[in-house]
Amino acid sequence: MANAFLNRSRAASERLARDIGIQIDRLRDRRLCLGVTGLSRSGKTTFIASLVHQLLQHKKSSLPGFSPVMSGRLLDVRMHPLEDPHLPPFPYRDAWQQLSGQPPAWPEPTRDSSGCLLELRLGRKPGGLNPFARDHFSLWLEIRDYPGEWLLDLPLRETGFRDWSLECGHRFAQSPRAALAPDLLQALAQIDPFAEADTARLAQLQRAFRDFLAAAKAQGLSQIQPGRFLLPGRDDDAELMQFVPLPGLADHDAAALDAASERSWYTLCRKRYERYVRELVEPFYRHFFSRIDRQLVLVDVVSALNGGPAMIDDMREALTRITDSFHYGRQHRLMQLFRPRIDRVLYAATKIDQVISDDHEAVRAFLASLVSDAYRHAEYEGIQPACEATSAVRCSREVEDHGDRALSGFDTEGRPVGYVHPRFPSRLPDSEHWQRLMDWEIPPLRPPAGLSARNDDAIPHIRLDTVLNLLLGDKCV
Amino acid sequence: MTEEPDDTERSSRRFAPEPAPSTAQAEPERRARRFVPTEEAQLAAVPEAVTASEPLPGVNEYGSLQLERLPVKGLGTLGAGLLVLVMVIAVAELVRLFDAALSLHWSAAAALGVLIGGVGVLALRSLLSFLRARRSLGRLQRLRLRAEQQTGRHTAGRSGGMLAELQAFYADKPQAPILAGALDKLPDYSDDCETLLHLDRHFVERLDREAMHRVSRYSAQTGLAVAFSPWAALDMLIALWRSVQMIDDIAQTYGVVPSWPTRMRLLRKVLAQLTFVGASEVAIDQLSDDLGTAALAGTLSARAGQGLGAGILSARIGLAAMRVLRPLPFPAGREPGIRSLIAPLLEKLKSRLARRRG
Ligand SMILES: Nc1nc2c(ncn2[C@@H]2O[C@H](COP(=O)(O)OP(=O)(O)OP(=O)(O)O)[C@@H](O)[C@H]2O)c(=O)[nH]1
Ligand SMILES: [Mg+2]
Repeated sequence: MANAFLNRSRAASERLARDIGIQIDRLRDRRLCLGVTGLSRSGKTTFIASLVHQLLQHKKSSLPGFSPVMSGRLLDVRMHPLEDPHLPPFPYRDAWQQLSGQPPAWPEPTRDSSGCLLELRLGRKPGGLNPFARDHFSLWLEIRDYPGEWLLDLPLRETGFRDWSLECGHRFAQSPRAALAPDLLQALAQIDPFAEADTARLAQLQRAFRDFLAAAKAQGLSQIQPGRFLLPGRDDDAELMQFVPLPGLADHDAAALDAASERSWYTLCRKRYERYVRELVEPFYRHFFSRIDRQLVLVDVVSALNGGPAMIDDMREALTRITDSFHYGRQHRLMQLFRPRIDRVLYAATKIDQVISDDHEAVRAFLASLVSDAYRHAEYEGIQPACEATSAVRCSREVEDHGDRALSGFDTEGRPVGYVHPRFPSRLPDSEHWQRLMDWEIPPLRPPAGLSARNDDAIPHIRLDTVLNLLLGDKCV
Repeated sequence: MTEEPDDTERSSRRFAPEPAPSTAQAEPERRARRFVPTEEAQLAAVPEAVTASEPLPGVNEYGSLQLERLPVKGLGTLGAGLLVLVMVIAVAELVRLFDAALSLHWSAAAALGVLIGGVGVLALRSLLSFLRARRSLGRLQRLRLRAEQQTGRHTAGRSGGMLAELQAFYADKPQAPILAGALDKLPDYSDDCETLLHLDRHFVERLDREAMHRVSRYSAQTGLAVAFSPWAALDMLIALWRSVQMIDDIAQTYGVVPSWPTRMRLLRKVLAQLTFVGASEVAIDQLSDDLGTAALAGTLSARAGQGLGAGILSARIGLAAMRVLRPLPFPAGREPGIRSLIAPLLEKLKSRLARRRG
């Protein structure tokens, strides 16, 4: 009994000491939290794996644009698990083994959250004033990975059930979604919110709604809410997900709805929705995003352009709404402990190795215009977001074909493939150009063969060093 | 400053407008296709990394060559430390003084106590009023944040709260009737984005017009003063000080009550925004277009050039202040450009010059 108490208090005091240590490191500007933000399939896991790899392998990888490498002060990099005991470590080994396997493969789609802590050991510039200072110091970098589906839930934190239902109604009435499941949408709209709820019917509707979300995702749409319907976490309570939006609420005003009986459709769905937000979305936000200092937003511009105007609009809206959850601005480090704000934002177009280098600049410019609504908020706080066109793993090489620049690589079956794609626009194109882009299907590429884990080969990348420098360069001095 | 009204009669006529210059460079379209690459193209195993220092063929890009700023560490902490030190010394000194007074006579000590208490109360009062004075700007910025979260969203029913907040902010201010007029004209059904657009059209744009007017006036004054003053350097300083007044003026247009603390905060925000406004828009060669032959013929003196520079800077500061102070964000693409401010400035400079000469 007494022993248990002693053990518990020892554990508590250890935790406290560790937390204080973390805060002191943050205060000394030696610990950063990097928020990797990206919709589902935007390439987060691959990007993080490659980033970790480039750093661990910094002797062999080419990072000339990253200032500590440039000045030869990056001494050593190590990967540790995060202090949070409930968060599994980021599956870096698995990802690297898959990328360097025979045949090489992409990492599996992420099914649960994970995280890692990178320690960058940096040499100090000689000539400091303090004669007792050590000649190196460590910079700690927190990185977390999660299924992209969950990110779409962040806007729900600020939306009540009624507003969310109205938004859904609005969205479902429009073109790509309206055609997906007309029967279901009809059925949802016809539910009388005041009638007594029928749980069997609700379960049936929820299943149909989930199928509808899956279909929308397969079409390439971005706004899939609630995201956990498609991908519940490891220990999520299934009952929290037994609700559906009620687009029919538009006909009733808020006061009347609040007076609805306990057992009505409205109250039942609203209660579950609120629990979903409180017990799943809020903790996710708190652990993953509330403390980030630097933000990296990954956007798969190439596939969205390939998908057509509806996909682009949907993605633009999704990205804009997600940024509402973040706070930008510059402030004193002391304030950063209590109310963290993001002071650097980088938007990166991923998978740029699928695009001929002549068009990289166009894709970058297109990304900038795509997210201009999203970063208006940051700009107002005086933060200038940067945009880059990058690739975590370069899978293609540039060749010539009949006088045109072309790309060659291997498709997912390992057959060699070469292609010339239509020109990518730097602004929203006209309809004829859209048609050309939509008619063209990007051949999915396989990671390059010949990477060997035994030989510590470095993954080829496109401009990851610029990304690293923009995100971390100033903290390495 | 008198504004000469433009009363020359327009002759009505029709004409065929010149075709707009095509913005996109007409690049030849590629023929999209797939092919099986030749042996030689597939041969080498792993492609190379593309890094910041070796741009891809066809991309002219050394933009990433930049060095990180070396921070001067501990300056803020030093300042805070000094402040604490001074406070400690002051308190110790006061205690000593109090002891000395007490040893003299109890009434002296009491008088000193009253004095200290009085000063303390005064300090508290000014601190409170300082905090209160900042509230106006703070409210405007909260408003702005809410508006930002609604732009581009086709949601319904969220703008109600924002409208109420907007009304509360402008209550008892001269802007209230304009706002009321705009709200009266609000169509009975509109989603949030449309509501914002309507407000923008019928309310904020009017304030914009007034603000632009003020910016234009201030920048013209500054430009002329610097151009025609015997001590241009001194006038530059004065011009900067005038900019602070301009910011105050713009703040009033948008309904922010002027006060010393808001002014400090605004100044910081405006300086941060300055980088986003019009810097790229005013390239020298564009200017020389506007200047026309005057610049080429060298008739515009170096002094006038300085005046122009000061005027442009002042206009940019004004636009930055508008960005900061606008209760709703500028709708995409409708932000006023700096060129619309430069043209009248140039006109004035030129006519003044001509008058001097003539
Ligand atoms: N060509 C190319 N394809 C890439 C690259 N990175 C990712 N991909 C492709 O994008 C797919 C998704 O990448 P992931 O890293 O799993 O994406 P994610 O954001 O982690 O996805 P979720 O975990 O489902 O949210 C991969 O399976 C690859 O097919 C890249 O650098 N180049
Ligand atoms: Mg993933």
